[in-house]
Amino acid sequence: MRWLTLYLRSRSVPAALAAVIAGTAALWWLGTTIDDPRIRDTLALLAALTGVAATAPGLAGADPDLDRTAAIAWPPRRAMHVILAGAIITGLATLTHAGPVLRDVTGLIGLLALGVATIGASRAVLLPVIWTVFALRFTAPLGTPPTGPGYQVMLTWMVQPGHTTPATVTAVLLGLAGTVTYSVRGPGSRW
Amino acid sequence: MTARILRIELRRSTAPWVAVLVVALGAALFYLTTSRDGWWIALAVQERSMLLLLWPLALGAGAWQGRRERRERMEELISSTPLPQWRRVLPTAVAMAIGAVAGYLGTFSAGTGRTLPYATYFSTGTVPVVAVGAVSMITAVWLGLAVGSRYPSTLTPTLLGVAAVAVQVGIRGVAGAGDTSRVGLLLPTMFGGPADSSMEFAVLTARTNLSQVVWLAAVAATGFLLFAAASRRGRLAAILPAVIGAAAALPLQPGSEDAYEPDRDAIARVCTPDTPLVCVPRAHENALNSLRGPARQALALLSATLPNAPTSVAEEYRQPHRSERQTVLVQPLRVSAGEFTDPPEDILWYLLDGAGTRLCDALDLVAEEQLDRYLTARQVAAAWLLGHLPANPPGPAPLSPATEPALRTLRGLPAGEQRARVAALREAELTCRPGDRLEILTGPNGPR
Repeated sequence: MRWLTLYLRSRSVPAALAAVIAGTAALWWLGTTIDDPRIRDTLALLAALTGVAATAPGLAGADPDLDRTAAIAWPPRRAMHVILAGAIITGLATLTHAGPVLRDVTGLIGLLALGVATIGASRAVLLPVIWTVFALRFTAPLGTPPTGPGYQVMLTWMVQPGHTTPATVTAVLLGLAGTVTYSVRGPGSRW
Repeated sequence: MTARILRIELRRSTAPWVAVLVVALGAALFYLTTSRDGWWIALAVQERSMLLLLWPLALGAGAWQGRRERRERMEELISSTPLPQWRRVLPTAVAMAIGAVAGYLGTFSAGTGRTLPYATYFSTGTVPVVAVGAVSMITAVWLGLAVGSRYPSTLTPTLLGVAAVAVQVGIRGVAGAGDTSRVGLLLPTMFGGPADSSMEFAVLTARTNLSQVVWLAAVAATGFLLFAAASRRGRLAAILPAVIGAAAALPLQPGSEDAYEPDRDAIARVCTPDTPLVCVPRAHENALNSLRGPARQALALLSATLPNAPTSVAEEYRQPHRSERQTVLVQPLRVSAGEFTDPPEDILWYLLDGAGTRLCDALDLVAEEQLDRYLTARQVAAAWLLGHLPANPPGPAPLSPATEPALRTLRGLPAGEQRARVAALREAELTCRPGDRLEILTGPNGPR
């Protein structure tokens, strides 16, 4: 228990949790004032992105290289961190927003974990953010998501309607790839 | 000295990355979405609509840069330098502004690849639209710098960016067509365009541009002052420009009807050099050739059968609400890759509808049945001129089942009588005289 408390504090989880709750609540309030269901879906995606972005700093400790030298089995712990963070964000976002929240969080957090493992925790958030910014062009109020061909559906997976198979497959693949890469490799060094 | 620091900042800060990121993202969005038209003003306005995403990106990048000293654990060292705060941060702010503006202008240049091959004419109204967008990018990075340096948490850049998207989407969602509302005009992002015509025929009025640039520049000043303020009093004073800007911009704002005005050059008629004249607005000049065929066919059909037949065809820049005796008017058509997207037979049908006239708005047809008979009469006249009833003609209304019996009744009359009745319908439509149009064609005992 003591180990867990110290771990959570060292990864600044309380601050992140506060940010997620505040962000989700603000977006939920905004959603209640908006009638257009397509714009409410956009807000749900933004809630998922807020949560995932808040997770980013916690995926690496103050000194990743020092962490690595510890005689601790990191891979299961790292995987658990990503999965639990995803579960909490999904839970919060599902409470407040309708829509394919689970898919969005799965894909985005996978993307984030992939980023942490490759370009470091401080820059990792760029991957989910830039991909989402790109995809937002294809949702309300700017546009509509493409229905085909397959690669375009996969590129805009986070703005597709819930039951779109290629979008779900993309999100699951990203989630798996990210979680596995991150838990095996750990956070990339600061550069 | 300052110039040297500026050069270093241009290389070592987030500034070049902002430019690269904005251009890359903007170009990708342009090339995945723009239709192949060729209107500079539409390109500029489209980039302004993409500010919904590019502006928060620049804001986040500013915040990222703003927390550099915390990130590098240099705050104490830097604060011990004797230079006043504002001189110390000036090169950073200028470098970020240069990066953001370069990104915005670079995105516009990237979009020219799509516009240039089909470009017809350059509307001078394009320049202020791009300029206001570029100013808004400075506003974004400077506000970001202010927030990022004040709250240097790792979460700040992303949360700030998400908040900026959410607020803009929210204003858009709550205000509905918030584009030309007072609040909507204060946003850097522009959605859509004028209500009654498409963007290629319009420009933003000077008051719209002016109020936007005053407001955005004032907020940029506030951002810079907040970033440069060394004391609490300085931070409070920094709010002043934004307040003054809002006070100046709100009265300057035009009403929502006057946000756009028609572009005189874009709507000027350009005609074929030879008769019969076929004309389009200048913005559609490159599609003139695809109107020539169906237009001349329609004129030939009309003059072969009717007395005082029209002698020219013209595309209007907005829904025509009147008819002309000498000219067959057609509503604005969509252009793609230098051609009208409607197939020639559809254009022919538009031109022949009502024997070359436009719908009369003044008739005040409230009853469903009356309106149906009116539209049917116009379609019967078109089909009679065409010689057959097309299988699936385009608007303004779907073919009513009454069309076919009415056409048969009309065809059953002597040839001279048929011609006289269609001519009478055309005359009634030109003058918008009240009365049942189908009765003109089929007589009082015709099918009801």
